[in-house]
Amino acid sequence: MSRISLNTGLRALLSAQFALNTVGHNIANANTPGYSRQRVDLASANPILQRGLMLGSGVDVRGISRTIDQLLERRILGQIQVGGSLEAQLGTAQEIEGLFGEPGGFGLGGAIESLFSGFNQLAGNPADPILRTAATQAGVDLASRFNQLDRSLSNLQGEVSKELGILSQQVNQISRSVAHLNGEISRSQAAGQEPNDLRDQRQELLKELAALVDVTTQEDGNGSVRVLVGGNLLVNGETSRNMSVANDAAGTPQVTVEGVGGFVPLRGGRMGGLASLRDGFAPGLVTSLDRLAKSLILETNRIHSQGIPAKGAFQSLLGTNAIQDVDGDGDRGDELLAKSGLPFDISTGAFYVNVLDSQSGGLAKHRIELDADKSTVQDLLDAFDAIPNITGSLDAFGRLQVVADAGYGFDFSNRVDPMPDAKGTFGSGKASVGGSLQGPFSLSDGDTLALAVPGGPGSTAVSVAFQAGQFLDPSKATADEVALALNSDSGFQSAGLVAQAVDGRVFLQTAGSGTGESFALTGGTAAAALGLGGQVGQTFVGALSAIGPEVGGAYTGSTTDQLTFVPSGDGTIGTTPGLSVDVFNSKGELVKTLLVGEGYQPGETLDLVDGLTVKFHLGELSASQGDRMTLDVVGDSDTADALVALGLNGLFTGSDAGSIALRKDIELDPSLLATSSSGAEGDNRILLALMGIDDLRVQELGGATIGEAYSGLIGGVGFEVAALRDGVEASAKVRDSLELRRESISGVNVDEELVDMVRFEQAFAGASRLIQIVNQLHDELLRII
Amino acid sequence: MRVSTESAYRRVLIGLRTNFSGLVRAQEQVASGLRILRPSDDPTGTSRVLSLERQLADSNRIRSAIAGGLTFVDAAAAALEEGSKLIAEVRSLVLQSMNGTITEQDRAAIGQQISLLRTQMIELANQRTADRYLFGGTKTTTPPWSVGADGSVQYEGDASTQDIRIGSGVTIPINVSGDQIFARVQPAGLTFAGLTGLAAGSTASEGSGTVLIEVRQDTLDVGALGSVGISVVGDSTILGSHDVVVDAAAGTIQLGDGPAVAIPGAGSDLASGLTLQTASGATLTVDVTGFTGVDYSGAVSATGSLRIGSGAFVPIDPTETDLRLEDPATGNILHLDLSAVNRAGSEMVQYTGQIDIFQLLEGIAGDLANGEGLNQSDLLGRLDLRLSELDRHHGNLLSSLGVLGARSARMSNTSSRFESVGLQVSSLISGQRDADYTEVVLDMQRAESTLQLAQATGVRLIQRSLLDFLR
Repeated sequence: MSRISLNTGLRALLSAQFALNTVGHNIANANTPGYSRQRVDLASANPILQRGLMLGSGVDVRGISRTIDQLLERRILGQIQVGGSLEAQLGTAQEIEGLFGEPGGFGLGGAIESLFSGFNQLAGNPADPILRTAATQAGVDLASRFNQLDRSLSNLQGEVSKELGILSQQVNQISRSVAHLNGEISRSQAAGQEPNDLRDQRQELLKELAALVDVTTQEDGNGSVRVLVGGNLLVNGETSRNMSVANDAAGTPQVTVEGVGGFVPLRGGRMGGLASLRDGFAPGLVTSLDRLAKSLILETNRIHSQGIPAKGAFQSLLGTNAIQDVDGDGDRGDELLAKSGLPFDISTGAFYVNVLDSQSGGLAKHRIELDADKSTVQDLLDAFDAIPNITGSLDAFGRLQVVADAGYGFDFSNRVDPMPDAKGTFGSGKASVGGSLQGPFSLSDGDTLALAVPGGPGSTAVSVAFQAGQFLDPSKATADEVALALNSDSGFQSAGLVAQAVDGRVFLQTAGSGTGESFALTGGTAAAALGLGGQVGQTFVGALSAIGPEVGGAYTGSTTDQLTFVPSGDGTIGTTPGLSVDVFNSKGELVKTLLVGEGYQPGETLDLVDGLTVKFHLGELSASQGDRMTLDVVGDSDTADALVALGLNGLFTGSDAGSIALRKDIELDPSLLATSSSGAEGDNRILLALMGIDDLRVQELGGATIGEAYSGLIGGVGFEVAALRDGVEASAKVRDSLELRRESISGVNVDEELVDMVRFEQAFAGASRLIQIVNQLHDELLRII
Repeated sequence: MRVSTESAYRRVLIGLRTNFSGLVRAQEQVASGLRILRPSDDPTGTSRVLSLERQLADSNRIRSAIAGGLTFVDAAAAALEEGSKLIAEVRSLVLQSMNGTITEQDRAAIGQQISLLRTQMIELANQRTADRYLFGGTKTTTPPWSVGADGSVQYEGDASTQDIRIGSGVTIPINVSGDQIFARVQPAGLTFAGLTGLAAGSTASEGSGTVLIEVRQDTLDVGALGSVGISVVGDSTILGSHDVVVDAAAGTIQLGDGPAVAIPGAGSDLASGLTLQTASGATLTVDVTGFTGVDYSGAVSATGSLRIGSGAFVPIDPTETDLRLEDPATGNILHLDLSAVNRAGSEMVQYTGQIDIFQLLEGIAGDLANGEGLNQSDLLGRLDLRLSELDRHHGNLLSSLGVLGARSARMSNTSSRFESVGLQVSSLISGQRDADYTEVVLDMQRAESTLQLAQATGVRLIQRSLLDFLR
């Protein structure tokens, strides 16, 4: 009996000691992160059968267990992933937010406003060199703001990639530790021990891992845990696989796991957050910024390219955008212009080149038609070559270079020809007759035109025979071809005659002016076809003075058109009653009737259309001799956007936020800033138009103005950061509440442990006392002996 | 619920952290005075602030453009007011010179005075403000009126306007080009001073300024006047055919439609040089000392020729109604009707409405100097023409002044409108962006007291332990 009692006491003593130890362990780890409270599982020991009775034999320690809720642990792990991802994104997004420096006027928005203010100041006095420099510097500043933002954003993306590399090293370290712990735990468990503290340690490591990357865990039967990232095994039992970073096809660093082909998509944790920011938000922002810069370049250059700098028309101009040899055959000429690697689209339309004779001040307007689907680079070069006194060529880089002959200049403005009758087909001093028909004319090989000029006895006959080779198609001969054929005829030339093509009609005239000049149309098989049939047999005589129409003012209309001037009858300016000049547009509609007969004072200014004026000098008009002249009025000098695409006379170069820059030569010489559309130093029409960009709805920006698009971009950044911040806060709250719940289950309450300590202390004392009593009983028995 | 020691600490910590960050946020707003410090503070508010700031910048731009434009307009207006005074002065001087009692010398002196005024007028037309010429159109860096070696003045500017932007898509010109003010062309055909009977031809003429046409007498056929003892002496200016009627009974002699003049006695001084005159002023001087006292009626006819400027003389054909004359120096073209030419002399032809003010003033000064020695009535005929041109110029100048004044007023109105728009927008920006101090300070105090409470209670909570009682 005494043996039983002594054993019972001993068991109690040992159990209390165990319990006290565990209390001590709990108190010691009260502040250990991830520690789960342990408790001693006590149970009564197996009873002993004595004299038919089951006699209790004391207490047994069954084991030490930790109090833990597995499901809760799993949810905490998930929440850590979410929080880690959001925090990583928030940190970087806030950095981006700071880059823009808004609101406060120190960001890109302020720089755009500064440019417009620079234009505005300069518009007040376009000849002021200081204001001119200030405006160009505002442009330089704006461009560099764009460049800085672009660089900062791409640097940020680089940083993120670098950080991914560092984080993957950390992941590897942790996963190795997890694998190691897996081994220890499964070995302990196989030995029948419960490795509570190791499990806590492992759980803590898994939390660290979850903060970095989106892991899922599975525990197997022997206590080791499998860790998966995006479905790929990272830790299995005692083995771990290394995570590393490698560049993908686009050169962007991505995460791979050893032994797994392809890249691992990252969704959570710090790494997931960084990757999603790098691949989603930041590139989106760069795209928006690029679009903004591109729109600014496009709209500014559209206007600026049609302007004229302070120095007047250009002598030579080099495009800033290069034409690429897209098909790689060594010849740029055969590329379709619209698909020749230019940064801006070329659409079907036309642009005008004005060639200015610096001596006479005469202006020749030339129209170059472009078809986006057909025109090749060579077509463009040919078109430039066809313009007298300027040449166009490609330099070694494929940039278009336009050069004017000495004594000539060129520009792309919409100014009108001030002397539209340079050819002398509208009441000039030359003897002249024009055809009544517009081309194309149906001619055949060998058709003739017979003329007579004074000289010899009576007159000298001149006969010109047309050859089929002089026309692309003789049955569809154009006025230009006919004029060229006539002018190249030596007999025609030596007779002092000139042919002109005006309004698609053929004009014959003398080279000289005055009443002494005359010629007669005597016949020929081509006369009727050219609309000259009614004039056969007539003699045409020059006049003392030329009407010499002068056009003034600036065209304010928006349409591009060719106006044709036709006299209503024969007569003298300012004299003949009822004489008028009818002005038709290219559709043949009468747009204006100018009364130039009796009552009109020669030289008096008459209103034409849309801001233009015209005056006629004393002279004679003849409807019967086919007098006619045309005037090009241009609303938009470049409906094809060819100048913008080629980078001719643009204000900005480049095509996105990274490449935008103020044209280098303008920066160095601000007088190249094209402020005027007439060439006068006080003309600020281009500047006024540039300021209009502020209100312009840009297609590329979805119909928003540049300012609105920028506000939208900043608002977007703000929303992103605000949403991330709210997300971080919310996820921290959720995590806090989960952790609190975990604490309430697994955490150590020191007071509680102290109560346990007192309890087990007393149990220990009781057990000691029992042993003492049993001991005394033994002593009593021994004394009997 | 079971509370672990750790969770007690943690709860206190969370409370302190939350309250402290609220306090810091409130303090940040107080310190900066701003509610929105970064876009994420209020993304929609930020967008709105940015768009308002654009609006404000635009209205500031317009106001600065107007401020710059106004100085230009006002300078031009001041110059034109000066010009108007100048013209008024010229006018009164011309009127003074037309007074019949004035002497040739005084008139010449007035002419010199007008020359000086012309120089002043040129200076005025070339006036500039802040290195910009006021009246050159868009050619603002070179003097718009150049004075040639011969003193003639040429417009070198253009007719364009300098516009400033006073609203979205709205512009206003700040200048009136010099040619509109000082050389506005309002052609009204030819006007003749009316000396010689020249008239405009059937074809229109073209040119500018005034043209002098010299008409001279080439041959004179006095018919049978000698038969009554009357001979022609000295110069005569008659052209064409005029009757001479001698009424012996009345003792008078009459030339054409002129007045009948009494024939002085042979002893009179006048008898050897009696000047007869037609109504139009053509003269014939006769010597009547040998008058036989017999009635006479016969024609006196003269042929002549004319020239423009210093060109070649063209014989006058009285049937010519459309003679073309071209001045090689100026390019002026005249078509003249010669059928009514009745007198030799220097005819002033004016391209009415096509004389610039400098030509006009030069012309007036020239007239007053009277180098041609015109008589009083011929001179008055010319000055009358000049005065009407002067009045036209005065009208133009005043209307330009009116235009400038109206623009100045419109610009000022626009500026003050944008000033109030600016104030409004500024206050909107402030409402969006700036912190409301009362609210923020209240927030801050609330955050402060909550933090204090949290600290106080937290400390009491974590200080308590069973250990205090275990001895």
